[in-house]
Amino acid sequence: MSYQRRQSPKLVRTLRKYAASTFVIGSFVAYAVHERSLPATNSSELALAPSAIALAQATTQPVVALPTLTQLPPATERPTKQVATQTIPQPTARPRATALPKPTAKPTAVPEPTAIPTTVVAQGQYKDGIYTGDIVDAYYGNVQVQAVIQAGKITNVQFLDYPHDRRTSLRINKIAGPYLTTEAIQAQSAQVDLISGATLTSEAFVQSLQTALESAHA
Amino acid sequence: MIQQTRLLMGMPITIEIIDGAASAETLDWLFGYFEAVDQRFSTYKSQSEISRINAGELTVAQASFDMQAVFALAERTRQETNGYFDIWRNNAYDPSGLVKGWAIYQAALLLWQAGFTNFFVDAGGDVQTSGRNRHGQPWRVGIRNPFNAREIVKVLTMTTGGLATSGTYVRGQHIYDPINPDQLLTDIVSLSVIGPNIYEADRLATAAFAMGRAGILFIEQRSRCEGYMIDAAGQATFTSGFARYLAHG
Repeated sequence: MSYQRRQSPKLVRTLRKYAASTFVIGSFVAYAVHERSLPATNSSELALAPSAIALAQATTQPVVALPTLTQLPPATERPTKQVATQTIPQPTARPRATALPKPTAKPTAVPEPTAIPTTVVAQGQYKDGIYTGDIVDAYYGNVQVQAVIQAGKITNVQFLDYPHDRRTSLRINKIAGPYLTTEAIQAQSAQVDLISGATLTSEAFVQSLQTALESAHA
Repeated sequence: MIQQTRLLMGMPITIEIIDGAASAETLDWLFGYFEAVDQRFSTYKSQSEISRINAGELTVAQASFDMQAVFALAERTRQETNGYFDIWRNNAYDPSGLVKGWAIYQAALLLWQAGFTNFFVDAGGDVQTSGRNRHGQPWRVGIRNPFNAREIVKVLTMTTGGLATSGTYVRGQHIYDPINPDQLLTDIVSLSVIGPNIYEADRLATAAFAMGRAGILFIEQRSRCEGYMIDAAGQATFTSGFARYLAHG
Protein backbone atom coordinates (compact mmCIF):
# COMPACT_ATOMS: atom_id res chain seq x y z
CA MET A 1 0.00 0.00 0.00
CA SER A 2 2.99 2.30 -0.14
CA TYR A 3 2.80 3.01 -3.81
CA GLN A 4 4.18 6.40 -4.76
CA ARG A 5 2.88 8.21 -7.79
CA ARG A 6 5.66 8.58 -10.32
CA GLN A 7 5.58 10.21 -13.73
CA SER A 8 6.54 8.14 -16.73
CA PRO A 9 9.65 9.22 -18.61
CA LYS A 10 7.59 9.45 -21.77
CA LEU A 11 5.27 11.96 -20.17
CA VAL A 12 8.25 13.93 -18.97
CA ARG A 13 9.68 14.09 -22.46
CA THR A 14 6.35 15.10 -23.99
CA LEU A 15 5.83 17.81 -21.45
CA ARG A 16 9.31 19.15 -21.89
CA LYS A 17 8.73 19.37 -25.62
CA TYR A 18 5.50 21.24 -25.05
CA ALA A 19 7.09 23.50 -22.50
CA ALA A 20 9.93 24.30 -24.86
CA SER A 21 7.54 24.94 -27.75
CA THR A 22 5.37 27.14 -25.59
CA PHE A 23 8.42 29.09 -24.57
CA VAL A 24 9.66 29.59 -28.13
CA ILE A 25 6.28 30.81 -29.33
CA GLY A 26 5.77 32.87 -26.20
CA SER A 27 9.17 34.43 -26.59
CA PHE A 28 8.44 35.51 -30.13
CA VAL A 29 5.09 36.96 -29.15
CA ALA A 30 6.64 38.70 -26.17
CA TYR A 31 9.39 40.01 -28.34
CA ALA A 32 7.00 41.21 -31.02
CA VAL A 33 5.03 43.14 -28.44
CA HIS A 34 8.20 44.38 -26.83
CA GLU A 35 9.71 45.54 -30.10
CA ARG A 36 6.73 47.66 -31.00
CA SER A 37 7.05 49.51 -27.75
CA LEU A 38 10.80 50.14 -28.06
CA PRO A 39 12.80 52.71 -30.01
CA ALA A 40 13.94 51.30 -33.35
CA THR A 41 17.65 51.47 -32.45
CA ASN A 42 17.54 48.56 -30.01
CA SER A 43 15.55 46.23 -32.16
CA SER A 44 18.38 44.57 -34.06
CA GLU A 45 20.18 43.57 -30.88
CA LEU A 46 17.15 42.16 -29.17
CA ALA A 47 15.84 40.32 -32.19
CA LEU A 48 18.22 37.47 -31.64
CA ALA A 49 17.85 37.11 -27.96
CA PRO A 50 14.68 35.10 -27.36
CA SER A 51 15.37 32.48 -30.00
CA ALA A 52 18.88 32.00 -28.68
CA ILE A 53 17.60 31.37 -25.22
CA ALA A 54 14.91 29.13 -26.52
CA LEU A 55 17.41 27.04 -28.43
CA ALA A 56 19.62 26.77 -25.43
CA GLN A 57 16.78 25.77 -23.16
CA ALA A 58 15.31 23.28 -25.57
CA THR A 59 18.54 21.37 -25.75
CA THR A 60 19.41 21.46 -22.09
CA GLN A 61 17.00 21.72 -19.24
CA PRO A 62 13.39 22.56 -18.41
CA VAL A 63 12.24 26.00 -19.20
CA VAL A 64 11.46 27.75 -15.99
CA ALA A 65 12.44 27.38 -12.41
CA LEU A 66 9.03 26.28 -11.20
CA PRO A 67 8.33 26.80 -7.54
CA THR A 68 6.70 24.27 -5.25
CA LEU A 69 3.42 22.60 -6.06
CA THR A 70 1.26 25.11 -4.33
CA GLN A 71 2.76 28.13 -6.06
CA LEU A 72 2.37 27.26 -9.70
CA PRO A 73 2.37 30.53 -11.67
CA PRO A 74 -0.08 31.05 -14.49
CA ALA A 75 1.19 29.57 -17.74
CA THR A 76 1.24 32.89 -19.53
CA GLU A 77 3.74 34.33 -17.09
CA ARG A 78 6.45 31.86 -17.84
CA PRO A 79 7.96 33.13 -21.11
CA THR A 80 7.92 36.72 -19.95
CA LYS A 81 9.55 35.83 -16.70
CA GLN A 82 12.23 33.93 -18.53
CA VAL A 83 13.11 36.85 -20.76
CA ALA A 84 13.26 39.15 -17.81
CA THR A 85 15.58 37.06 -15.68
CA GLN A 86 17.98 35.72 -18.27
CA THR A 87 21.00 37.68 -19.38
CA ILE A 88 20.29 38.64 -22.94
CA PRO A 89 23.18 37.60 -25.19
CA GLN A 90 24.91 40.19 -27.32
CA PRO A 91 24.66 39.95 -31.12
CA THR A 92 28.22 38.64 -31.23
CA ALA A 93 27.16 35.67 -29.20
CA ARG A 94 24.93 34.63 -32.04
CA PRO A 95 24.39 30.96 -31.45
CA ARG A 96 26.68 28.48 -33.05
CA ALA A 97 26.71 24.95 -31.87
CA THR A 98 29.71 25.48 -29.61
CA ALA A 99 28.38 28.71 -28.19
CA LEU A 100 25.31 27.12 -26.71
CA PRO A 101 25.24 26.98 -22.96
CA LYS A 102 26.45 23.69 -21.56
CA PRO A 103 24.03 21.69 -19.46
CA THR A 104 26.31 22.30 -16.49
CA ALA A 105 25.82 26.03 -16.89
CA LYS A 106 22.13 25.79 -16.09
CA PRO A 107 20.80 27.96 -13.32
CA THR A 108 20.77 26.23 -9.95
CA ALA A 109 17.12 27.07 -9.49
CA VAL A 110 16.08 24.81 -12.36
CA PRO A 111 14.16 21.91 -10.81
CA GLU A 112 14.52 18.25 -11.51
CA PRO A 113 12.69 17.20 -14.67
CA THR A 114 10.24 15.11 -12.66
CA ALA A 115 8.94 18.18 -10.91
CA ILE A 116 7.66 19.71 -14.13
CA PRO A 117 4.86 17.37 -15.23
CA THR A 118 3.44 17.19 -11.75
CA THR A 119 2.59 20.82 -11.87
CA VAL A 120 1.90 21.21 -15.55
CA VAL A 121 -0.60 18.36 -15.81
CA ALA A 122 -2.55 19.45 -12.76
CA GLN A 123 -5.90 19.52 -14.48
CA GLY A 124 -8.21 17.43 -12.26
CA GLN A 125 -10.97 18.90 -10.18
CA TYR A 126 -8.51 19.69 -7.37
CA LYS A 127 -5.57 22.03 -7.24
CA ASP A 128 -2.29 20.45 -6.23
CA GLY A 129 -1.12 20.95 -2.70
CA ILE A 130 -1.61 19.80 0.86
CA TYR A 131 -4.93 20.69 2.44
CA THR A 132 -6.00 20.42 6.04
CA GLY A 133 -9.66 19.92 6.84
CA ASP A 134 -11.75 21.24 9.71
CA ILE A 135 -11.95 19.42 13.00
CA VAL A 136 -15.19 17.45 12.86
CA ASP A 137 -17.03 15.87 15.75
CA ALA A 138 -17.34 12.23 14.73
CA TYR A 139 -19.41 10.74 17.54
CA TYR A 140 -16.43 9.03 19.15
CA GLY A 141 -14.12 12.01 19.15
CA ASN A 142 -12.70 14.58 16.82
CA VAL A 143 -11.54 13.85 13.34
CA GLN A 144 -9.28 16.05 11.28
CA VAL A 145 -7.73 14.99 8.02
CA GLN A 146 -5.08 16.27 5.69
CA ALA A 147 -5.29 15.49 1.99
CA VAL A 148 -2.42 15.51 -0.48
CA ILE A 149 -3.36 16.38 -4.06
CA GLN A 150 -0.93 15.56 -6.83
CA ALA A 151 -1.72 15.95 -10.51
CA GLY A 152 -5.26 16.86 -9.54
CA LYS A 153 -5.89 13.62 -7.69
CA ILE A 154 -5.99 12.68 -4.04
CA THR A 155 -2.87 10.64 -3.42
CA ASN A 156 -2.88 10.48 0.36
CA VAL A 157 -5.16 11.20 3.28
CA GLN A 158 -3.69 11.54 6.75
CA PHE A 159 -5.65 11.66 9.96
CA LEU A 160 -4.23 14.50 12.06
CA ASP A 161 -6.72 14.14 14.84
CA TYR A 162 -8.46 10.95 15.53
CA PRO A 163 -10.51 9.31 18.27
CA HIS A 164 -8.22 7.30 20.57
CA ASP A 165 -5.18 9.14 19.24
CA ARG A 166 -4.63 6.67 16.48
CA ARG A 167 -3.03 8.14 13.39
CA THR A 168 -4.05 6.34 10.29
CA SER A 169 -2.98 6.74 6.75
CA LEU A 170 -5.05 5.80 3.81
CA ARG A 171 -2.92 5.50 0.75
CA ILE A 172 -4.92 5.16 -2.39
CA ASN A 173 -2.78 3.27 -4.84
CA LYS A 174 -2.86 3.20 -8.59
CA ILE A 175 -5.11 0.18 -8.68
CA ALA A 176 -7.64 1.20 -6.09
CA GLY A 177 -7.66 4.93 -6.62
CA PRO A 178 -9.90 5.24 -9.65
CA TYR A 179 -12.41 2.63 -8.52
CA LEU A 180 -13.34 3.45 -4.95
CA THR A 181 -15.89 6.18 -4.40
CA THR A 182 -16.76 8.06 -1.23
CA GLU A 183 -19.89 9.81 -0.02
CA ALA A 184 -21.38 11.05 3.21
CA ILE A 185 -23.96 8.61 4.52
CA GLN A 186 -27.56 9.74 4.34
CA ALA A 187 -30.68 8.29 5.91
CA GLN A 188 -33.08 6.69 3.42
CA SER A 189 -36.84 6.58 3.73
CA ALA A 190 -37.54 3.88 1.13
CA GLN A 191 -39.40 0.67 2.04
CA VAL A 192 -37.26 -2.45 2.29
CA ASP A 193 -37.92 -6.17 2.72
CA LEU A 194 -35.12 -6.64 5.23
CA ILE A 195 -32.11 -4.91 6.75
CA SER A 196 -28.44 -5.85 7.00
CA GLY A 197 -26.43 -4.55 9.92
CA ALA A 198 -23.96 -5.61 12.55
CA THR A 199 -25.46 -8.35 14.64
CA LEU A 200 -28.26 -7.28 16.93
CA THR A 201 -28.30 -8.95 20.30
CA SER A 202 -31.46 -10.62 21.41
CA GLU A 203 -31.87 -7.95 24.08
CA ALA A 204 -31.48 -5.14 21.58
CA PHE A 205 -33.91 -6.88 19.34
CA VAL A 206 -36.47 -7.19 22.13
CA GLN A 207 -35.98 -3.54 23.08
CA SER A 208 -36.37 -2.48 19.51
CA LEU A 209 -39.43 -4.65 19.14
CA GLN A 210 -40.93 -3.11 22.26
CA THR A 211 -40.47 0.42 20.97
CA ALA A 212 -41.89 -0.61 17.65
CA LEU A 213 -44.93 -2.06 19.35
CA GLU A 214 -45.32 1.05 21.49
CA SER A 215 -45.35 3.24 18.44
CA ALA A 216 -47.74 0.83 16.78
CA HIS A 217 -50.16 1.46 19.65
CA ALA A 218 -50.06 5.21 19.31
CA MET B 1 -45.90 -16.23 1.82
CA ILE B 2 -44.80 -17.24 5.30
CA GLN B 3 -42.44 -15.41 7.66
CA GLN B 4 -41.23 -15.99 11.19
CA THR B 5 -38.58 -14.65 13.58
CA ARG B 6 -37.11 -16.70 16.41
CA LEU B 7 -34.32 -15.92 18.87
CA LEU B 8 -31.62 -18.52 18.37
CA MET B 9 -27.84 -18.49 18.79
CA GLY B 10 -28.25 -15.24 20.74
CA MET B 11 -29.76 -13.34 17.84
CA PRO B 12 -32.99 -12.97 15.94
CA ILE B 13 -33.27 -15.26 12.91
CA THR B 14 -35.92 -14.42 10.35
CA ILE B 15 -37.00 -16.69 7.52
CA GLU B 16 -39.43 -15.61 4.83
CA ILE B 17 -40.54 -17.94 2.06
CA ILE B 18 -42.68 -16.63 -0.80
CA ASP B 19 -43.36 -19.94 -2.55
CA GLY B 20 -46.84 -21.23 -1.79
CA ALA B 21 -45.65 -24.71 -0.82
CA ALA B 22 -43.99 -23.36 2.32
CA SER B 23 -45.75 -24.20 5.58
CA ALA B 24 -45.23 -23.87 9.32
CA GLU B 25 -43.50 -27.27 9.18
CA THR B 26 -40.99 -25.89 6.68
CA LEU B 27 -40.09 -23.14 9.13
CA ASP B 28 -39.90 -25.56 12.10
CA TRP B 29 -37.57 -27.76 10.08
CA LEU B 30 -35.27 -24.81 9.22
CA PHE B 31 -35.24 -23.34 12.72
CA GLY B 32 -34.52 -26.86 13.94
CA TYR B 33 -31.46 -26.86 11.71
CA PHE B 34 -30.20 -23.63 13.31
CA GLU B 35 -30.78 -25.14 16.77
CA ALA B 36 -28.70 -28.16 15.81
CA VAL B 37 -25.90 -25.89 14.58
CA ASP B 38 -26.05 -23.99 17.86
CA GLN B 39 -25.84 -27.22 19.86
CA ARG B 40 -22.76 -28.25 17.94
CA PHE B 41 -20.87 -24.97 17.54
CA SER B 42 -21.77 -22.83 20.56
CA THR B 43 -18.73 -21.99 22.67
CA TYR B 44 -21.16 -21.02 25.47
CA LYS B 45 -22.47 -24.58 25.83
CA SER B 46 -20.03 -26.77 27.76
CA GLN B 47 -21.24 -29.95 26.07
CA SER B 48 -21.18 -28.64 22.52
CA GLU B 49 -18.82 -30.35 20.13
CA ILE B 50 -16.60 -27.26 19.84
CA SER B 51 -16.37 -26.95 23.64
CA ARG B 52 -15.35 -30.59 23.88
CA ILE B 53 -12.67 -30.03 21.25
CA ASN B 54 -11.38 -27.02 23.21
CA ALA B 55 -11.43 -29.09 26.40
CA GLY B 56 -9.32 -31.75 24.72
CA GLU B 57 -12.05 -34.38 25.00
CA LEU B 58 -12.38 -34.67 21.25
CA THR B 59 -10.09 -34.17 18.27
CA VAL B 60 -11.22 -32.46 15.09
CA ALA B 61 -10.64 -35.72 13.22
CA GLN B 62 -13.07 -37.48 15.56
CA ALA B 63 -15.67 -34.73 15.25
CA SER B 64 -18.70 -34.55 13.01
CA PHE B 65 -18.54 -33.98 9.27
CA ASP B 66 -19.91 -30.44 9.76
CA MET B 67 -17.22 -29.62 12.31
CA GLN B 68 -14.48 -30.90 10.03
CA ALA B 69 -15.95 -28.93 7.13
CA VAL B 70 -16.01 -25.71 9.19
CA PHE B 71 -12.42 -26.22 10.32
CA ALA B 72 -11.31 -26.79 6.73
CA LEU B 73 -13.18 -23.70 5.54
CA ALA B 74 -11.73 -21.65 8.39
CA GLU B 75 -8.20 -22.68 7.47
CA ARG B 76 -8.80 -21.82 3.84
CA THR B 77 -10.21 -18.43 4.83
CA ARG B 78 -7.24 -17.76 7.12
CA GLN B 79 -4.89 -18.31 4.18
CA GLU B 80 -6.96 -16.25 1.76
CA THR B 81 -7.06 -13.30 4.15
CA ASN B 82 -3.35 -13.38 5.10
CA GLY B 83 -4.18 -14.38 8.64
CA TYR B 84 -6.79 -11.69 9.28
CA PHE B 85 -9.41 -14.37 9.74
CA ASP B 86 -8.41 -16.82 12.45
CA ILE B 87 -10.66 -19.01 14.57
CA TRP B 88 -7.77 -19.71 16.98
CA ARG B 89 -7.73 -17.07 19.69
CA ASN B 90 -7.07 -17.00 23.43
CA ASN B 91 -5.88 -20.62 23.25
CA ALA B 92 -9.20 -21.88 22.00
CA TYR B 93 -11.06 -22.37 18.74
CA ASP B 94 -13.97 -20.01 18.17
CA PRO B 95 -15.42 -20.56 14.69
CA SER B 96 -18.51 -18.42 15.34
CA GLY B 97 -17.24 -15.79 12.89
CA LEU B 98 -17.56 -18.34 10.14
CA VAL B 99 -20.38 -20.55 11.40
CA LYS B 100 -23.13 -17.97 11.12
CA GLY B 101 -22.66 -17.29 7.40
CA TRP B 102 -22.04 -20.96 6.77
CA ALA B 103 -25.24 -21.97 8.63
CA ILE B 104 -27.37 -19.40 6.79
CA TYR B 105 -26.02 -20.71 3.50
CA GLN B 106 -26.66 -24.32 4.55
CA ALA B 107 -30.26 -23.38 5.39
CA ALA B 108 -30.61 -21.81 1.95
CA LEU B 109 -29.17 -24.97 0.36
CA LEU B 110 -31.77 -27.01 2.25
CA LEU B 111 -34.52 -24.76 0.89
CA TRP B 112 -33.21 -25.02 -2.67
CA GLN B 113 -32.99 -28.81 -2.36
CA ALA B 114 -36.60 -28.83 -1.16
CA GLY B 115 -37.61 -26.94 -4.30
CA PHE B 116 -38.05 -23.41 -2.94
CA THR B 117 -36.72 -20.54 -5.01
CA ASN B 118 -38.07 -17.29 -3.53
CA PHE B 119 -37.04 -16.64 0.06
CA PHE B 120 -34.60 -14.95 2.42
CA VAL B 121 -32.84 -16.14 5.55
CA ASP B 122 -31.63 -13.41 7.90
CA ALA B 123 -29.55 -14.24 10.97
CA GLY B 124 -28.63 -11.21 13.05
CA GLY B 125 -28.39 -8.89 10.05
CA ASP B 126 -26.54 -11.27 7.72
CA VAL B 127 -28.73 -12.23 4.81
CA GLN B 128 -29.09 -14.80 2.05
CA THR B 129 -31.69 -13.82 -0.53
CA SER B 130 -33.05 -16.01 -3.29
CA GLY B 131 -35.25 -15.19 -6.25
CA ARG B 132 -37.79 -12.42 -5.73
CA ASN B 133 -39.95 -10.86 -3.05
CA ARG B 134 -43.72 -11.08 -2.63
CA HIS B 135 -44.22 -8.43 -5.32
CA GLY B 136 -42.21 -10.44 -7.83
CA GLN B 137 -39.45 -7.83 -7.60
CA PRO B 138 -35.83 -8.26 -6.52
CA TRP B 139 -35.39 -8.16 -2.77
CA ARG B 140 -34.91 -4.68 -1.36
CA VAL B 141 -32.31 -4.81 1.38
CA GLY B 142 -31.38 -1.84 3.56
CA ILE B 143 -27.99 -1.20 5.15
CA ARG B 144 -28.47 -0.08 8.72
CA ASN B 145 -27.09 3.25 9.89
CA PRO B 146 -24.29 2.37 12.34
CA PHE B 147 -25.01 5.59 14.26
CA ASN B 148 -28.77 5.10 14.47
CA ALA B 149 -30.18 1.57 14.43
CA ARG B 150 -33.61 2.90 13.45
CA GLU B 151 -32.32 4.24 10.15
CA ILE B 152 -31.02 2.78 6.93
CA VAL B 153 -28.40 4.54 4.82
CA LYS B 154 -28.58 2.53 1.60
CA VAL B 155 -31.16 0.48 -0.25
CA LEU B 156 -29.92 -2.40 -2.40
CA THR B 157 -31.76 -4.69 -4.78
CA MET B 158 -30.71 -8.32 -4.84
CA THR B 159 -32.06 -11.49 -6.38
CA THR B 160 -29.91 -14.43 -5.26
CA GLY B 161 -26.90 -13.50 -3.17
CA GLY B 162 -25.47 -12.78 0.25
CA LEU B 163 -25.15 -9.54 2.17
CA ALA B 164 -23.25 -9.42 5.45
CA THR B 165 -22.37 -6.47 7.62
CA SER B 166 -19.58 -6.39 10.17
CA GLY B 167 -19.43 -3.53 12.60
CA THR B 168 -18.45 -2.21 15.99
CA TYR B 169 -21.89 -0.86 16.85
CA VAL B 170 -24.80 -2.47 18.69
CA ARG B 171 -22.72 -5.25 20.23
CA GLY B 172 -19.68 -3.14 20.87
CA GLN B 173 -16.25 -4.37 19.92
CA HIS B 174 -17.06 -7.91 18.83
CA ILE B 175 -14.47 -8.12 16.09
CA TYR B 176 -10.78 -7.82 16.72
CA ASP B 177 -7.59 -7.62 14.72
CA PRO B 178 -5.78 -10.96 15.09
CA ILE B 179 -2.52 -9.41 13.82
CA ASN B 180 -2.63 -6.64 16.45
CA PRO B 181 -5.04 -8.01 19.07
CA ASP B 182 -4.67 -5.05 21.41
CA GLN B 183 -5.58 -2.45 18.84
CA LEU B 184 -9.11 -1.09 18.96
CA LEU B 185 -10.99 -1.02 15.70
CA THR B 186 -12.62 2.35 15.97
CA ASP B 187 -11.69 3.68 12.57
CA ILE B 188 -14.30 1.78 10.55
CA VAL B 189 -17.69 1.31 12.16
CA SER B 190 -19.49 -0.72 9.50
CA LEU B 191 -18.50 -2.80 6.49
CA SER B 192 -21.18 -4.43 4.33
CA VAL B 193 -20.17 -7.01 1.74
CA ILE B 194 -22.29 -8.31 -1.10
CA GLY B 195 -21.18 -11.74 -2.28
CA PRO B 196 -22.41 -14.61 -4.45
CA ASN B 197 -23.73 -16.18 -1.23
CA ILE B 198 -23.85 -15.34 2.46
CA TYR B 199 -20.98 -17.67 3.35
CA GLU B 200 -18.61 -15.72 1.07
CA ALA B 201 -20.03 -12.35 2.09
CA ASP B 202 -19.87 -13.05 5.83
CA ARG B 203 -16.35 -14.45 6.05
CA LEU B 204 -14.95 -11.73 3.80
CA ALA B 205 -16.78 -8.98 5.69
CA THR B 206 -15.37 -10.29 8.98
CA ALA B 207 -11.82 -10.49 7.66
CA ALA B 208 -11.94 -7.19 5.78
CA PHE B 209 -13.34 -5.37 8.78
CA ALA B 210 -10.33 -6.49 10.81
CA MET B 211 -8.07 -4.90 8.20
CA GLY B 212 -9.35 -1.41 8.98
CA ARG B 213 -9.30 1.07 6.11
CA ALA B 214 -7.51 -1.38 3.84
CA GLY B 215 -10.48 -3.74 4.10
CA ILE B 216 -12.42 -2.06 1.32
CA LEU B 217 -9.41 -2.49 -1.00
CA PHE B 218 -9.35 -6.18 -0.12
CA ILE B 219 -13.03 -6.45 -1.12
CA GLU B 220 -12.38 -4.47 -4.31
CA GLN B 221 -9.79 -7.04 -5.31
CA ARG B 222 -12.11 -10.01 -4.71
CA SER B 223 -14.07 -11.06 -7.75
CA ARG B 224 -17.86 -11.20 -7.40
CA CYS B 225 -17.75 -9.15 -4.19
CA GLU B 226 -18.71 -5.53 -3.54
CA GLY B 227 -18.44 -3.54 -0.36
CA TYR B 228 -19.77 -0.46 1.42
CA MET B 229 -17.62 0.82 4.29
CA ILE B 230 -18.63 3.51 6.80
CA ASP B 231 -16.01 5.21 8.97
CA ALA B 232 -16.32 6.93 12.32
CA ALA B 233 -16.88 10.28 10.61
CA GLY B 234 -19.94 9.00 8.77
CA GLN B 235 -18.11 8.91 5.46
CA ALA B 236 -18.74 5.90 3.24
CA THR B 237 -16.35 4.33 0.73
CA PHE B 238 -17.62 1.78 -1.75
CA THR B 239 -16.23 -0.52 -4.42
CA SER B 240 -16.39 -0.07 -8.19
CA GLY B 241 -19.33 -2.39 -8.81
CA PHE B 242 -21.37 -1.48 -5.76
CA ALA B 243 -23.60 1.07 -7.50
CA ARG B 244 -24.97 -1.74 -9.66
CA TYR B 245 -26.95 -2.95 -6.64
CA LEU B 246 -28.42 0.40 -5.68
CA ALA B 247 -32.20 0.60 -5.77
CA HIS B 248 -33.66 3.36 -7.90
CA GLY B 249 -36.77 4.93 -6.49
